[in-house]
Amino acid sequence: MANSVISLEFPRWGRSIALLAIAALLGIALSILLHHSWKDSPSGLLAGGATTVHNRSSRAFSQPSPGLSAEEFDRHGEGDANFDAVFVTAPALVNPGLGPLFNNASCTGCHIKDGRGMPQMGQSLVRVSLPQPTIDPHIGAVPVPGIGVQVRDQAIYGHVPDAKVTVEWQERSGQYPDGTPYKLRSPQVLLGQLDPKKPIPANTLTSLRVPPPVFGTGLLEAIPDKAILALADPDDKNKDGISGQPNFVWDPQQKTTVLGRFGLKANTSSLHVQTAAAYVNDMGVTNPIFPEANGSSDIDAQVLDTTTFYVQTLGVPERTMLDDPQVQRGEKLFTQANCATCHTPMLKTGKSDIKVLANQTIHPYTDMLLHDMGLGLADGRPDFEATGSEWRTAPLWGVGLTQTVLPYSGYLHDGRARTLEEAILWHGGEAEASKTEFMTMKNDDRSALLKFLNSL
Amino acid sequence: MSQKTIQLLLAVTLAGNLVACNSSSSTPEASDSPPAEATVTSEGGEGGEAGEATADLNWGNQFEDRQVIASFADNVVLPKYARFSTDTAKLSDALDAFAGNPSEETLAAAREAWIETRSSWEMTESFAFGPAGSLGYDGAMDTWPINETDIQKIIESEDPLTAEAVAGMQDSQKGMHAIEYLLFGVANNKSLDEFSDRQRQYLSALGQDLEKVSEALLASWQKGIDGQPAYREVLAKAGEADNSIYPTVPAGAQEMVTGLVECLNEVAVEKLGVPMEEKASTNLESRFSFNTLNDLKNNVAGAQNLYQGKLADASNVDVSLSGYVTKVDPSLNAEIETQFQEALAAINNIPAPLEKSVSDPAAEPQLEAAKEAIETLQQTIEQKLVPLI
Repeated sequence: MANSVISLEFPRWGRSIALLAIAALLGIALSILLHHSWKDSPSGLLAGGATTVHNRSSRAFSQPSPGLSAEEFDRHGEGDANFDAVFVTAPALVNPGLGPLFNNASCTGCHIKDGRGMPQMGQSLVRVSLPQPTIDPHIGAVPVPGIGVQVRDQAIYGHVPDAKVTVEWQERSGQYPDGTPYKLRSPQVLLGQLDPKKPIPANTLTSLRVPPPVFGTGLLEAIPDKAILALADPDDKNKDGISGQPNFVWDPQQKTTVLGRFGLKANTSSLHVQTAAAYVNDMGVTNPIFPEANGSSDIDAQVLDTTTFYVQTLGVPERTMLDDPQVQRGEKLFTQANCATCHTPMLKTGKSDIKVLANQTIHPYTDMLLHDMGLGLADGRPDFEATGSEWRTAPLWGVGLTQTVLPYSGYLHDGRARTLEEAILWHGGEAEASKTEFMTMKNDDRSALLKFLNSL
Repeated sequence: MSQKTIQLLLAVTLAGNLVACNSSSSTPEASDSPPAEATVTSEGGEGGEAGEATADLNWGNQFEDRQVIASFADNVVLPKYARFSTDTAKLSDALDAFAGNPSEETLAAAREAWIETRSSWEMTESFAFGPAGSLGYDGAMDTWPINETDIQKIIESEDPLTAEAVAGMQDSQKGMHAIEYLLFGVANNKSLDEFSDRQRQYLSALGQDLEKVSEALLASWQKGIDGQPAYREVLAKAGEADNSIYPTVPAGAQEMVTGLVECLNEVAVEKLGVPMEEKASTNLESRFSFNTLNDLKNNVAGAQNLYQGKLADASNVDVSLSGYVTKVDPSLNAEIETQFQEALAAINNIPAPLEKSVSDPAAEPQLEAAKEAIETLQQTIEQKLVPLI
């Protein structure tokens, strides 16, 4: 792909020089990466820098970061209880404030053991909006009248949910160039009207979303804007076919437009806002950022802050099987296939109020940027500056533990991929070339690359 | 770009590659001692005086005996879930009997059956991993708190109260604690004449739903659900080539020991510690039936089963964590076994019901002693057992 671009832009005499230069640059890049992995390998274990936890069990995503002060540790524990708290209909002795409409009654009900949820109602949700001629910098997506930007498919007694959600799975077959067959499935979301006052417009855009794991997000929040923006290449000036771009989103707390980091399309600026939005949208629990009309709220600032702090201070699981030759080979293949261009293996955090998060070298395997992933994965639902086919690069740290933490759970934004292999096969758009490279690998090489992912 | 520059780049590249290749050969050796390396770094996190549990675990990654894991699945997990399923069937029958023929006898029998069921369940807490979360069984059976307001509205309504209706209800409207609430009242004080027909119908339907879910949980471990492999196989085959969930043998054993640590920590900090600080029964998990103390005892007894690789009444099993520790460090095994007994004895020393003693100043020493005994056991496991696994 890069070659054909060059031939368009360079006169014939320039091609060989350009190719040589590119070869040299690739060589340097490879050397830096190899060198990096040498320098880093003993500590390649330290996926989350000082926050790395030594746990590869089903509780791997739920461990407090090491190195918290006694006070921070207590706060983390308090936040843990908040994260587990099941809300119920008011009045109640414990945890009143649920609903009236909601998706789940607790944080952990969807982010099970601080990881994903299953791609089914109850543990996932459906985002909705209407097609937008222009981007409203304050909303990001046009709400469906009466419903908003998310279908709350549960209600406390006596209230009617936004709509009835049905998810149907369609399966199709394909095969690798070597003849190995595979099957891929994708969901179709159907909305049924339940509330007479909430008709579902025919042009409603829908997007099924599984909850992503929450650990490590404190570190992602502490990466300086500059470092993320430096990775962006919106006009693909380097002609590698990959044009990561930042999302810029409205921050309801700062009341201004800032870099988006969280959410599957990076539509949220901070964990504080993300947590507040999850309380109010997913559980119907009002809070100081999203209060009731009269200004009161179900939880106070202290609860919101403590829950946010809990998420920020969860540790990142260490890698496993680092001395396995197959894993080491898989890591090289991952780089060779250009996966690491978006799934950036190493970033550095900057300042943070939480000491253990500051100035850490981390291995999140994300560039925090949006990429066009092709029609196969597109939900057709824009969000702020993210188009209907763009997604934020998913962090891959801990991805090998996905089904240890939650057996049978899926990968990608809607959990459609039942295995990491299926997840790769769904890559398209800017990742088309990398996917093709994976598909043309020998079976052993594909296995090695998958084993590397499983070591993360 | 001049030719000179290209040459320079190529030279740098080659040199870089050579350095990288040369150095990367030392990788496996260096990664042999990950915990030490990592521990230093975490302590360098300059977080002031680290709180106790911020200390990271120092796994030995040396455990090789897959049989211990398989034996645990066969001799503890499966029998425990089978027993729980049998108990829920008995509870369901007792609730049906009470609904059909409300009397002091049938009420007492139903309450007794609830306590039996609860005991079986609490003994499984230290291995609450696997399908219970993904397939929603845990939520459907053990959500806390329950939604009292909505449950009252359901009772006041004319909605159907069948097992099918309950299956479609929200988690906080069903499960063991909903049964407990309706069966015992808010403070273990509900009299026979307080039960309405609708309440008894609800109880009966709740019992039937619980039985079905417990059967599904057992099936998910025993034979697999929806075409998934039996979870017993997944765990017991830790370290086999195609096992991506537990890709190494130590990963399987670490799952077991993490279960021990998490269970003991939960009992000491959340289930006992928080109510002790609050000096109130509000957050005691079985406060409707005054059964919380029993829950805590069974949590620790279940953890002991996990460690010993057997049910309490079975004879000793060599192929177990306990057997393994006995071979490597017999005095450590003795220490852990003693501390299990001390923790259980300390819980037994707390005056029952905990719902009353939690706010009784006279019971404070016993409460503190129990909390301490559980924490001591947890620390021994973290500091001495974890490095062997």
